[in-house]
Amino acid sequence: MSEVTAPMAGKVIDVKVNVGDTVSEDDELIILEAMKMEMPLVAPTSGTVKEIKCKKGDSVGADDVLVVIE
Amino acid sequence: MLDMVMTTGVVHLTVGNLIMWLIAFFFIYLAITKNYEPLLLVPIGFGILIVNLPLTYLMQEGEGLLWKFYHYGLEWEVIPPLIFLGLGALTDFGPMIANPKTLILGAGAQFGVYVAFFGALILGFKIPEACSIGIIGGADGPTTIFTTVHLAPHLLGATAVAAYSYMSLVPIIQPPIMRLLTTEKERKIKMRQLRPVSKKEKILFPLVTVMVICLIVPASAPLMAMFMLGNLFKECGVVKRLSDAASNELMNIVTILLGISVGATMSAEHFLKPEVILVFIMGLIAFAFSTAAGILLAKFMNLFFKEKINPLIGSAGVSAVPMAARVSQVVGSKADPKNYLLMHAMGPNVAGVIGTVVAAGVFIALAG
Amino acid sequence: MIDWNLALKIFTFGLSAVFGSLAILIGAIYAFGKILKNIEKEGN
Repeated sequence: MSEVTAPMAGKVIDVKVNVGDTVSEDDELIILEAMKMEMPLVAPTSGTVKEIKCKKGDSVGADDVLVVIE
Repeated sequence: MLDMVMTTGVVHLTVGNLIMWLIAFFFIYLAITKNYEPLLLVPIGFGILIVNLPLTYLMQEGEGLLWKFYHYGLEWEVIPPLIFLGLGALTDFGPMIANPKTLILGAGAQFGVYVAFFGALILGFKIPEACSIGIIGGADGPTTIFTTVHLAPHLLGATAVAAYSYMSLVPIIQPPIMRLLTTEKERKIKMRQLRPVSKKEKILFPLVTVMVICLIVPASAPLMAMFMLGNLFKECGVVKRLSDAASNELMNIVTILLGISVGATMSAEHFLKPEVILVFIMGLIAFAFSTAAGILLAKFMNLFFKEKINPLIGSAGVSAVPMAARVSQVVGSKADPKNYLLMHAMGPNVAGVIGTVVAAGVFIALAG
Repeated sequence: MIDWNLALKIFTFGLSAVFGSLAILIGAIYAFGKILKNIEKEGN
């Protein structure tokens, strides 16, 4: 199991996967906006999305867990 | 009849005026359709246009409206420090306080300033002119203007426009240099997440910094003092109104006056000279060397530190905030999409602003 | 004529001021970080 955490504080502007989706390594999961820049957060490993802990429009802090992949 | 015709501007138009009109339209076009630095290019472009309408005497010493903006705003050193006040209120020094050694990268990226300084001297510019040209390499608009007004006001249009245009070209100029000087492996270096910085540290920082910098280079005080005051407004938490005013309304007001004043210095007889092209070339060289020096310094530091720095954040030592930091993020994520360098690059980025101000202070103290 | 002496002085003094002041700033940041930590410890 691996967790995708926010690398920095920012705002979630898009969630590109749903719970149950199969993803492969480096697939985009979430688009985070920090300092007026959009940054895709990618899957660290291949697997299935087990849990999504944020939604579009959320403000998140550094190190918050956003997605859990199994 | 002839006398009446002579009072119109039309008969006094020169070819130079027409060329400057084209430049003015080009700037306004770039701002509106390409969104290149619109907050500056719209007022600058308009300023260029109107000072190239003959007989308006807008830049007439002691009388003209734009001359008054220019004189009381720029020559009196009011506008650039007020912009720094706003920048201070917008800048988060947290990433730099969390990893202070990245400050050195902000110093390294001033190297290009001196390369362009010597380059300009070799091309025949005088020392004060060479200082104003060199400082373009710091990639800091207000500091460039501040220095040029002090040392070589006749070059103001050229250095200001060069500084702002290279700042907006950061995403095009920097990446090839960054890739050339780093290996794939270096670009993939992951850096440890920055520690959280306490509020107390953030409040102490502007106080300590203004003392350290102004004691060493007193001539940098106008910019440094305002920069740190703005930052204290932001971090102390009890003067939100002042912080908001400095970073919004005041900043917008002085940006209008800055843009139109810079544009107003670009009348045909002042701007259409071969030396202006040289200013642009030396500015680009300054910029490229600053980028390269930041990266090479980061690689050099990696020889000594156990915890490796990703050299891509070195190029963020040029003070174009936050454009240069974004470039580090983009180039880094191309090598490894799981690498997030943005916050790490903000350290050298804001340190670069301080470094450029110090360099400008020394120029003004010694060449003024 | 260019006063190369002055130019060299501007260069050496400028670059050392840039590196020197930022290095001192690094020291200062570490120092006040430590002091703050100690004060907080005593407070506990």
